[in-house]
Amino acid sequence: MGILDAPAADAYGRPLTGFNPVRDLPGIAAWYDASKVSNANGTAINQWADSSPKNRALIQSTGSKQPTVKTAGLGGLNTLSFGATALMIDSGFGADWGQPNTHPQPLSYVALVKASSTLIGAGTNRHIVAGNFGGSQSCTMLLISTNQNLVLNAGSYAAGQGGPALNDDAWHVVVGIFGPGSCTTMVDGYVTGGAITQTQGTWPMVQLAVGGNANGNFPFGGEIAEVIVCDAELSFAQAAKATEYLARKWSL
Amino acid sequence: MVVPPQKFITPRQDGTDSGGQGVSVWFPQGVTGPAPLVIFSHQQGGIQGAAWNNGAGWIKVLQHACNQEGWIFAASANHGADSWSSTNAQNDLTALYNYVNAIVPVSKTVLCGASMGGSVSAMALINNKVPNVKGLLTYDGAFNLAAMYANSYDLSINTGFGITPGTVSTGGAAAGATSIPLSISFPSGTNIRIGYGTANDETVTVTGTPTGAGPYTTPVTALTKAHAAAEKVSDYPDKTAGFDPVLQSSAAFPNIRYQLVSGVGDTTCVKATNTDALAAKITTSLEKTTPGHLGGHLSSVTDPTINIPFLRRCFA
Repeated sequence: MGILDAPAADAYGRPLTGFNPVRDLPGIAAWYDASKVSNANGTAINQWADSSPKNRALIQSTGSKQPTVKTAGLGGLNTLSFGATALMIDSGFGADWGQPNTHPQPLSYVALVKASSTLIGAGTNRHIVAGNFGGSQSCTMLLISTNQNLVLNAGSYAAGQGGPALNDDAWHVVVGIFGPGSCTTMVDGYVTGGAITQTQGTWPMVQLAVGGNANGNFPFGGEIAEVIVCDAELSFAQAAKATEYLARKWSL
Repeated sequence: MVVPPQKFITPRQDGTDSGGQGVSVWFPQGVTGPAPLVIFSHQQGGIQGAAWNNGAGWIKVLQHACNQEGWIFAASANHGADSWSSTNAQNDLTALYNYVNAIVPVSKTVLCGASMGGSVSAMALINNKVPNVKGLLTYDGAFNLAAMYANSYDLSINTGFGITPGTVSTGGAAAGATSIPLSISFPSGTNIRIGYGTANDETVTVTGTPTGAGPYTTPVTALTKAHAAAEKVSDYPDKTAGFDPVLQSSAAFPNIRYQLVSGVGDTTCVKATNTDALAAKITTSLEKTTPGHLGGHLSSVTDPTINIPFLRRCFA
């Protein structure tokens, strides 16, 4: 087959010229894309569909905790506004993930977020992607620390050595990689922290929550455009590709 | 958004420079040069590279990002944990540059330092210890040696500069007194600093030969403050003359780019007396910023999203 005869799409009809998270990221486990939410501006939503083939929708049935749609929130695309109490949870976690209550590392979280400088006070952790954290349960967490840096935690705070203060009302692509022998944080394509040991701890994913933890604590407070969860340890190059994909898609 | 590349594998290479100091260098994979070089000077108690390993540590964040850009990153032992801005530490940066340049030719250089490493970076810049420096990047820099001396780093600075320490002996000394009992016999003409770390901090000069056998009755220029027994005293002023960055003249700072990162709540290298004081000295520059960070001293301090664009401008 000559180059001019090469197909323009893969076997699933996805263009080969662009980056497709389902095809091009390893082990995609969930993909929440606010640009596909079509509700009117200001509408509170009770479900955020999973754009991956896994069908792991996020749910919030309590009206006061529901995020609202912001039309043309970024790059002409819709985003979701998470207020000081808003969060969404994979209520079917367990059955959804093929295991009873937990899902082990390696895991990678990629998100495009804008943390408000005013919604959440200084000195409070802000969970971007977390789970059931509290009591005897703990979990993998990607969060903004009290120093306003991106941090991983799966038992202990890790990989928070640097990076920008994220409570700046600006959009950032954030990546957290929980490996069995390493951990990494990345912001806007730069490695901002990491270690060559499992410094973050060994806790698994316990439920999946976006915009806070599943217990309603440590709200993120801001806008979220997209969240991708991978059941794999992304390489730096893969994380950079995902970052570039989000930056182009959302006109950053 | 310009997403930086993530392609180079950068194992650390350790060696020894011409002065016998241990050095660590991270070369971008396949680099042949001439290539930009970032020279990092460690903090008090730090080391050139082993503690960072190949994956951990806040400075690893900067080293990794620099290598992705195709720049060489290097660090010296800098005569150990307590070298500050001493002549030895400054000369170590020359030796490190020569070490790297002999392996891969260096095109342009930026001096980078953290806390204590900021002091040697600044003084090496002023004294032209490294060729073709295009920028100074510091994290929580210790630019005010006198303030650091009063802020519990006196023992470390004593080590770095060969300072002789002592104390005011029994009885103390009243304001206006022209002799003072000291545990050390300082030679006539020595400028001595008394009471550092207290509100009584002052400098006087020994005006004659001390008498006695410890305590020594030491003739000095008139004291302006009263001193209690056991207050610290040393020949700090003479041993550190010419080594305190904030005491240099504005004309000494070259017209290059400066990014002086400092913690807004740092109580070790207080921003106002260190970073802000140095920035005020730099009156002519291509670029001068003092970005803040919210962590404590050297906590959450490296931010490649602002540091790398700064370095790109330096190396452009």
